[in-house]
Amino acid sequence: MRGITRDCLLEMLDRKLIYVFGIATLLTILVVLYSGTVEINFGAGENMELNQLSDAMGNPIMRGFNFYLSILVFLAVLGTAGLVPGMLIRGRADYYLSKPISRSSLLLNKLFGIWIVYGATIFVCGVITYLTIIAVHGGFDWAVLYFLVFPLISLFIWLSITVFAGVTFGSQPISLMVAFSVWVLHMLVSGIRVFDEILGSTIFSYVVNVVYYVLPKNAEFSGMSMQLLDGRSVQSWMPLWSSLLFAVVLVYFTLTVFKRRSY
Amino acid sequence: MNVIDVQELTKIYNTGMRKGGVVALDSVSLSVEQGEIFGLLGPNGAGKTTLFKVLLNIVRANSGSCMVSGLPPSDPLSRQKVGYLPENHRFPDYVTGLGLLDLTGRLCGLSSSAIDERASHLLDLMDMQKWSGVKIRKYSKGMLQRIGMAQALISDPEILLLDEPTDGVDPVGKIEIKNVLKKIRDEGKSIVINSHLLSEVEAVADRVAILQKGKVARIGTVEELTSRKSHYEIEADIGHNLVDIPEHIGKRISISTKSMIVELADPEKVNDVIDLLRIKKVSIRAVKPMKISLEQSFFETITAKEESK
Repeated sequence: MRGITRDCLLEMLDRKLIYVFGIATLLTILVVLYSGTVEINFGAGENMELNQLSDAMGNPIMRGFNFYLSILVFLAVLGTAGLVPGMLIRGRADYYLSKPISRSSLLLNKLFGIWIVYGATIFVCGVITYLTIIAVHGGFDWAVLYFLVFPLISLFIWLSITVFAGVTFGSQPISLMVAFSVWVLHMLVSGIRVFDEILGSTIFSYVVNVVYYVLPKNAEFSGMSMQLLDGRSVQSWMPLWSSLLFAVVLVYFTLTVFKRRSY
Repeated sequence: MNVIDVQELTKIYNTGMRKGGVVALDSVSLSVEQGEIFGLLGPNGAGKTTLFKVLLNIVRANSGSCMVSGLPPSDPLSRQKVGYLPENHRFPDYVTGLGLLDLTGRLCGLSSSAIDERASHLLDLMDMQKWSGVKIRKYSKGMLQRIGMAQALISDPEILLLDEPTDGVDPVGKIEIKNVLKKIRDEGKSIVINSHLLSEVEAVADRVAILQKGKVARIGTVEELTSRKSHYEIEADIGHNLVDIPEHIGKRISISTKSMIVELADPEKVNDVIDLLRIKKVSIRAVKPMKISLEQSFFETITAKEESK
């Protein structure tokens, strides 16, 4: 990786982002510890403990764990959106591009370097939090690995978007705006599709469906991991593979843009 | 053997606003030989930095061709033997000086042991050993130039492209850098220096090209650029002799009891001046072609080009 992964790690440590992940994890651990003492009164003179609530609500602890991992991915996207534009600023781009390494290798090394460093941070934080959950509530299940793998896939997809925007526009705010817009558009299209099934097929619904299939569907990963945790089979793997396909195509376009650009 | 060969290179920057864009390089042709120090001079916006960037594939040329170590810039291997110090560089500032050399070495594909060895040597050479563990963002301008020089040299390059290498460096540091450059040249390596400090280029460069508005205005050895073939200084015991120079030979610029400066219509006419002096029984001690500084040559080239327009 030509030292770029280590470069990404040094940059993360220097920007003190590791503390942000640490604080998020610490707060979650405190919530987990507190949840061990929670008793919820649903009225009718009967107390319901958390494991009973779990049965009633579909494992709220793991849902919360899933949400926490989504927050870590969100933090990673925020923290990394400026890395590629930062590498391509005037004076620094000259330094990187003057080295005997192709532009494709440079960008792919940077992309995977960021993914490895931030992905490993999310994974480690996730493992620590899950071990706390096991210590408090018990019930270890290897299916938790799905919870830890899906955020890494999700991170890669978001990185493909922010790196694309970073190379194309050279701006951290625009990278974030593009990623946020994709997320909002996906949520919007997913919502419209539900109504569309009621309203019937039109040209509009065709367009909505095309947009839905093209855009990444990271928001649906948590549902998939819950299904796997519950021992159910996943209804459709389409959200996963189509999102990965989107990321791969976007990385290809990014490399094409990057190879042609002058700095 | 030419290590850099540039033929009819043209680069036009699209500004989006102005029709046709800005011409940074206009049919530039030049070459750099192995083991020479080549100075690239020109006013701001002459295209010096753009030429470096084209050679390193940072910027794509519109037309023309160039070869670095016999390879086109689009081939990453062409940069294998090139060290580069950019102008207004912004190295990753979250690493230490040693960290920058380590990262640069890895980007150049060096092994860890080779990096350690080279880094230690270069930190000593650039007098940066005691600052090697300090983060770059805390460096002064001069220290940044020194560590920049060190990173350019980490892969022991055959060709060194230096864009304003002494910018911000104190006088002692400038002398040290000048000595380092001469040492590198003596090892048979080629150096291309882009600098505004003409006296420094004059002191180290073997050949110089003056760029103006993207074109090569003059190119040649420092000797060629600084000598005035039509101007001669004649050291002689002139005393109070009145030496008149006929118009067809040239004109007298100045005269004293011990020397005379003449501007000749043709350099060959110097013999006619000597004959004139000998007729008057003036004893001649030396006849020397006049030299001007590179700075003056640069200024004359630039103003002559401006006036011709």
